[in-house]
Amino acid sequence: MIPAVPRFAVVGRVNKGKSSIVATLAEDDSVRIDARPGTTTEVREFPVRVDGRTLFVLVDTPGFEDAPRALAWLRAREVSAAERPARVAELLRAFEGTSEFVEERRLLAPILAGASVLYVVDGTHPYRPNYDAEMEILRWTGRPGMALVNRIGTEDHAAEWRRALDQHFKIVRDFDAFSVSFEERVHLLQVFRELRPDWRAAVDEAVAALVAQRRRRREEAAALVSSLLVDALTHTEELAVEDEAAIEEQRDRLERSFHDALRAREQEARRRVEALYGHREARFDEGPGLERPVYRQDLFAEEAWKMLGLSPAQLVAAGALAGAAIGGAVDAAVGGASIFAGTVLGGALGGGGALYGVGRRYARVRSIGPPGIPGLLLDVQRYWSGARRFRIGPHAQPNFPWVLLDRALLHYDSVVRRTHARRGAIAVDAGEGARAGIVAEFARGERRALEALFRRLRRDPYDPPRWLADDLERAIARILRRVDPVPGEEPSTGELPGGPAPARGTPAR
Amino acid sequence: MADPRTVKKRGSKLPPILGPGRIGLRGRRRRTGPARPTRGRAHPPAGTRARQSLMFPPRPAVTLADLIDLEAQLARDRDAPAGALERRDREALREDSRAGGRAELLGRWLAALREREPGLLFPGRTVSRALAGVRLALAALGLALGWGAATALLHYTGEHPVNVWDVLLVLVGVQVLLLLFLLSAFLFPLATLGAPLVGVFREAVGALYPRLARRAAGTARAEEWRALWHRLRSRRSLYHAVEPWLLLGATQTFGVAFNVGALLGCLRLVVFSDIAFAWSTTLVDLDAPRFHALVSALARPWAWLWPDAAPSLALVEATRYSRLEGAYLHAGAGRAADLALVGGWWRFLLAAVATYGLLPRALALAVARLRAARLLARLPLDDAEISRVLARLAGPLVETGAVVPEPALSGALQGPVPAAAPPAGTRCAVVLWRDVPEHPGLAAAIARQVRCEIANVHAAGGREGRDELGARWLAAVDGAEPVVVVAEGFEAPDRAALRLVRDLRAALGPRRHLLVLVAEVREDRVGPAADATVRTWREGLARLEDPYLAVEPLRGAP
Repeated sequence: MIPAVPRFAVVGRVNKGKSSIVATLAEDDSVRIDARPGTTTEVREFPVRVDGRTLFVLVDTPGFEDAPRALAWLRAREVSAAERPARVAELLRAFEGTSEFVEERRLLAPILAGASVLYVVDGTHPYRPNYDAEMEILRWTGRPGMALVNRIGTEDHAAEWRRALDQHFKIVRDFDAFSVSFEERVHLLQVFRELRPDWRAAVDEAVAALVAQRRRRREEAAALVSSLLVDALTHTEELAVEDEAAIEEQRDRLERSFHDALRAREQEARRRVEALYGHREARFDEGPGLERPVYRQDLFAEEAWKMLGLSPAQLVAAGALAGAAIGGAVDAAVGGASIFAGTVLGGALGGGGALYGVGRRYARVRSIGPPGIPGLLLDVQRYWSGARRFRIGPHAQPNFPWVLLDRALLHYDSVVRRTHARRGAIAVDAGEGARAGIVAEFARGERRALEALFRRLRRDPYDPPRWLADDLERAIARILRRVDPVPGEEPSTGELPGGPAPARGTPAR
Repeated sequence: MADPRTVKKRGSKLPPILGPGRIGLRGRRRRTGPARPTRGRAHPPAGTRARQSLMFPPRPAVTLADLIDLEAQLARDRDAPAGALERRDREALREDSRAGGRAELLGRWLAALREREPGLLFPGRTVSRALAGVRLALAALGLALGWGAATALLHYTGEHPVNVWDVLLVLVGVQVLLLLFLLSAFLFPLATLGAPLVGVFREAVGALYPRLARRAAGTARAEEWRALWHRLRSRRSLYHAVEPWLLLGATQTFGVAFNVGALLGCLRLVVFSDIAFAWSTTLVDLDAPRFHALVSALARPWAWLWPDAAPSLALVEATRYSRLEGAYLHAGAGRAADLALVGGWWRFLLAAVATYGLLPRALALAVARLRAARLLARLPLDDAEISRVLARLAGPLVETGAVVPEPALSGALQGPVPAAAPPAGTRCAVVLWRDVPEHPGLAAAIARQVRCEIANVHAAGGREGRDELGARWLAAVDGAEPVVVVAEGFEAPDRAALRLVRDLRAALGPRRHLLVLVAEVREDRVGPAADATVRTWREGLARLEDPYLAVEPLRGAP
């Protein structure tokens, strides 16, 4: 009996990664994955639905726990090859209601109902002859199947497994459920269609839909990242202080509130990107190399600013410091840590003063008032009345948007690489080299174009025009296309309107 | 945006020039070709584009009401999870409704959401009606004020004639000044500051119609309204570029109506009463020829078309008036002036009001309506935000994941406190579980760890499944103690492993020591399994609650 909707039963011994494979293919991080055997006790179905229609179903099964005895029972009576599927069905009937071969009966039921077999082994552990019993039982069912060599540990015994598996399955594939890419997942799904010709159309449609969904998610992620940048670069806070004695305390409070708001906004964007890719239970943390007293690297951590964003030379080339280099007109509204880059580039450019503020991470509170004569009059009035008004933001440090963008891209990279089989925290990998981020590898034209957008945002923090947010979103979308290319897509060249072609299409990682 | 060829316009019965959203210079619907999918902005078919761009506004692909509703919906969706939006849109739009051009698809989407979630704020139609109402009110007000101004200015009781200067200054001069101000706003736009076409009157109208709409919709959503309008007025909205032209159209509607009212007022007085006109001045140098030159210059735009409306020198000379003497000055005409002559200014005044008052306002109104329609027709429906919405609407909704939740697992068992280990120097039996290789170092490692001599070695759990000794274990181990089961760490303590231990326990009795050594056996080494796998075996065997059963990692070579 062949079911109308393709069904693929994921079978194998306990703790070989069946549920991990199902979690990865179905993008469901709620699937319980546990080192304890028998975590999966029931057959669970994971339908892949497109526009409400089920295109195929993955079936997660309990693992083989007593295959050799089951095979011994099957062989207790001599049957021909054609009778073997019936003999397997007899096993299910004979022990129904008993405590014998519970898992075997559960996992064989969907196969006898017409599901194709996806037999999972762990290629990081040695092959042992007792596994033959499982393969033999599956062969007795007479259903088409393929084998997946998963990788849970660190050793490599795939070759010996393949020698055994090739004798039982016409298709054997490596599939590391914990680090497989989207493209590899798509390839695996495309292999599924080889198991039964009449299932090809459904699998093809599902694959096309998954690819379209991936592309849409990427565009949504670009919107989230660009929205984060817009909000961060236009964020300001103001405070009116009546009591002269409380000015310092209020200023500190304002400064803390401002930076906390930026941190919170970044966290919100991250959670939304994670939710976009179905990582509801994941935790993403900065790499262990960037150690801080707090577990997660802070947005304004000194190490992060040293390793991420653009170098001083790149900031100059992108025009971020053009005004400063020419007129020393770096925004003095930043304050905080030492100027780590001033010594380096100041010497190189012969103008250390032009880099004043490059290394500073925090924005500074300043007094405000309207410009011109009204402002003077208001200041005079405030001086006599004692009421003062302060503002902080937009964050004017040239490297701030680059650090923010770098962190967002690193986070995004970790999200798209993470499979739903992973559990617990995963380090957000930093890149290699002197600077650990991604933005430092952008082509000069791309950096310059982005910097122009950042500067325009800062200049218009209260009401940025629509085209600005739109251009930024499109620029981020082009970057994300390089980070997470979708199968069948033309590689993004990274060209921006009016900018030169980039030196490299893919950022070095 | 429903197909206007098949759906009647609902609601407004106003003439098109005052109607909401749908405009045309002559108020007629323009027929366009069949709807075609357009990738970018919604343009009319190419064949009519040139003509339409000159004379007639392109049919707006997006109406004003839809634009406002679109902004309201985008604002609501901005913070919603993407998955929830996809499911909502799938439920709202049938599959066959998801084809078509971008504008049509957006229109169907909005219509479906309005129907599906009527409790949400969709103020588009209300705002359109409010704006239409404001336009109507301004038109009525303009008519009334124009009529009243003309009546007041041309008021003639018979004592002193109507001063032409007064009429010119009020009905022509002031309007010319306002027109110059409007033109300067075009030529020196404030758009660089993001605030084009600023004007007090326009700002008042701009503040009025949203309030009317909010009142009409009920005040329950005051905060939401406020937030929406704040967003609509910001430069981030699609509506931002259109509103100044809508407001300009509203104010020019007032201007056109005012001038029409003034003209009608003048005509009424001219036709149904007798009016004497005059002009006078204190300036000695401003004599009749000079005044004639001035008014002739003013009359130049229509003099070729309507010569009678250009005042002649004779008219100017005949109608110079002195209020001191209370008489016309020309040739001692006194008060008994020629009626046909002293009333001759009416044509000039009507033409002046029409040319310098009505015509510019009508042109400005036409420009405003055309511009608003063009902006609506050319809305950037291919910008990133709209493109994402359309991709979501047109693309497939993929759902994966289990339908039924996973049953809960029981917690890990601790197991009883193990009894003391057997004394050293005994003989032990070894059971190799599931094809553990007989590595040369394995026996030595076992003997070293258990401090015993290995009496016999058995295999269990192999592929044939026939080597389960059951009750024969007692004889098989031949009195050795402990019985050491060696299992590889990557094998789980599954049902078969539990059965082996139970069989051993059943065969050996309740107090014979059993020891499970969890090992890592490879071709080149024998050593302990990872702590986590040892823990897994301990927890897995704890359910047997056997105090004489211990689980340890194989220590391997020293």
